[in-house]
Amino acid sequence: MRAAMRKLINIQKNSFSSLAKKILMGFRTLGIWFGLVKISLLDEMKFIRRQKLVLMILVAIPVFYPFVISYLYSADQAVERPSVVIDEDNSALSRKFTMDLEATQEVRIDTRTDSFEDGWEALKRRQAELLVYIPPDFSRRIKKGEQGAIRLWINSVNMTTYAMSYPAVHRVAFAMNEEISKDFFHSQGMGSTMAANRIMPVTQETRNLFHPSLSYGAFLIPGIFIIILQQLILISLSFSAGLRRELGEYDEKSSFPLAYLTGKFMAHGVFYVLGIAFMLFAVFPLFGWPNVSAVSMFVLFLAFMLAMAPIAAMVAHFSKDRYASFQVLMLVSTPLFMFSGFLMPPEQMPKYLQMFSWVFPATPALFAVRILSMKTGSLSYVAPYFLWLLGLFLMYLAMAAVLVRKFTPKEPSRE
Amino acid sequence: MNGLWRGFRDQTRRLFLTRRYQLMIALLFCMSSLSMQAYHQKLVFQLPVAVIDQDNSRISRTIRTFIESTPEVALHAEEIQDLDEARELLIRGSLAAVVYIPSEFSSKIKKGTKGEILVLIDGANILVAKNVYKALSKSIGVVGAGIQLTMVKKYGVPKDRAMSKVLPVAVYENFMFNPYANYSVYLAPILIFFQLHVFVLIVAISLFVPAQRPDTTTELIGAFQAILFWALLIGLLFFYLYLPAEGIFAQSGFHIVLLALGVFILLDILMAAAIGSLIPSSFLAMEVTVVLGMLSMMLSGLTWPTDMFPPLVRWVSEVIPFTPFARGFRMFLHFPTGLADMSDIYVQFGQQFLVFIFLIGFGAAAKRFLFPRILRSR
Repeated sequence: MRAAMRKLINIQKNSFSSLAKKILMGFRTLGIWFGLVKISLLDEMKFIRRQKLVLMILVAIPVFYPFVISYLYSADQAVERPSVVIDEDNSALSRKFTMDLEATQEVRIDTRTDSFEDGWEALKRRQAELLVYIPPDFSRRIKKGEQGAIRLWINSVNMTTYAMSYPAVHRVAFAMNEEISKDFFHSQGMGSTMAANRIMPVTQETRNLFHPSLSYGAFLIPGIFIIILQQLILISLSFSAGLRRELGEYDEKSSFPLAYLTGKFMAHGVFYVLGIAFMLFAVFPLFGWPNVSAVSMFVLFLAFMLAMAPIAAMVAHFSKDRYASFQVLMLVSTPLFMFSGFLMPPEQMPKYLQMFSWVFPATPALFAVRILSMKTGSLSYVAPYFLWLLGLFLMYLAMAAVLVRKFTPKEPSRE
Repeated sequence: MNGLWRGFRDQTRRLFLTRRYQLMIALLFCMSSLSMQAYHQKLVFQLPVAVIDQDNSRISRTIRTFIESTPEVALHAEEIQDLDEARELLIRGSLAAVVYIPSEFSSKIKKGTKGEILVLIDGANILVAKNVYKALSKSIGVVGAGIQLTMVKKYGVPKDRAMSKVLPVAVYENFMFNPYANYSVYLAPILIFFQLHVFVLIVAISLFVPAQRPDTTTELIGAFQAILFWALLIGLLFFYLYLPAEGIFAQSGFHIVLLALGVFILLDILMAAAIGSLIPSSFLAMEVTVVLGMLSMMLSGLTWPTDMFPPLVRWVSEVIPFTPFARGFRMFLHFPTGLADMSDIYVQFGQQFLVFIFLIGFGAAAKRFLFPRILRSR
């Protein structure tokens, strides 16, 4: 390999004076650059075949993580939240209320108790997430034409479960209100249809577009897969570079360090593409995650992979050993996901954090992945995000070209 | 004693004088802070909503006014002509919801039938969808209740009793531990202690990397003590500096916080030691630790309830120290808690302690007696 490199670089030694010769030299340099990429690519292929640990990372991350995380969220929706009921009224009306509540998908009444302390204790010890208290005068007040009150204590620290059980109680109360209110209009001599129309005269028909079930798993998984791909790209390349350094096989004094790293990235790229295909064409359908157009998603994942290339090259260039990537990069992935705007809308975050998140390719990729996985397969809707990725790619490419060269030893190449 | 001190000193030097560890500590502080900042606003405000009012009646204008006055929602500045245009904006994410009031809306109500409003919500982001649904339902519901109230009064029901005819069952909520249901209280503690958990695991398992492994077992224990000490300090800093900055104050005594944090970090170290002891390859040991560490936020039950996990995953989640710690801090962080209240947490910590000690012993014995070749090769 070194002999081939030497041959390529010797071409550079010819002296050029005129502009035409300079242009020619430029083309030749480009030729050398691509030649080095090819050599580095083949060398990395051999290295992957020889070093099973690199191969293991390239295969395990895109197979293990998507599968396990999908399995974890396979229930998709958090239902039947454990609840406690204290029914001090014990009337037909209060029993109907609790039965209706239990009939909802979101709530499961685990305990019926007569002591408020027991109910509170169950909430405190996380045995229940919801405490429903029906006071002794509940039905009597309603019969007297007054308002009957139901009290709720709800554990709102976990917003996922809170967002399930809370609306369920309101829905049941709303249905009961409708039923009781009808009686008033009946008593005024109205027929059933007319009475029904008089209750809540404004009805709201809600349609949750793109994701009707509002389930948690389907909401989260496509974004997590982008983060998995990001980690795969960063870790595999820096691991390989670190391992080479440990073995003394890293070309520290290459004349074209970026070409050297590009070749390595391309060798790994084959596995990235296979990993993306596995996630999109195997895991997504297997677990039923939303994917309006697998082909468009594939294009997006590829674009993201390319946008990550210069960053991966920079990280790899500075990896001193194979452990560096695991030690440092793990502290970055979750926060990046958190302030990318995938969970919390970006306009709800502080301005400086929004701007900070713009410089990471994961941010536009996560915006785009939501559109392509749930809303539409048309790439025209995500064109701005592709442009954003392109911009980041060019920015990081320039940065990598400068930094990688700057931090490469200046001594004559070993070639 | 010298060995313990030497291990402590060397690990402390490594943590603060090695560039890589300096970077890790810097990332731990910066990334934890930035993650918390993402939820600094606490609630979701001003979600863009468009109203297509084809009725333009008094009632429809009232609905529009009510929607506009809800803090969670901001009306879209530009006029939207039809549902197709609205759908485009929903796909692009420029709108969170569209309220469509048809032309015959008020006339239907006046005729004594129900007036229907169509609400289209972008369900792709469930956080946005649920908030915007709540805000719109409240606004539209209030207008509906108002019309019904007027109608009831027309039948001669006195003002003070009219409400009971419209809403005979009233629901009064008390949000426990997070009274305003805000995202900062929900996520900030999870994020920073997850980062600390990952940090401790990585630093502890790094001691099994040949170049960093102390020469003797005593020095290794000394190094673990250093990790425990410094991680405990960082954890306390998180509890008493980072969280108060977000308006979250520990409601339990210092001793409760200190004990739970100390036991959690100790168990994290033991978990890393157990993995390092069981797996002969230092790299594989690090990889397994990192995988478990990275999954532990999802496995903790903080964001997704553990009873929804498949049984195997649930079992794995119970072995990771972050799971009981996370359950514990939700108690002692949000209301005054005594040690007795946390008995089940400490029982689980105790079980984990026994498991890790057994695994460390088993790993050490296996290497010494069953696979001495592996030990020599290391």
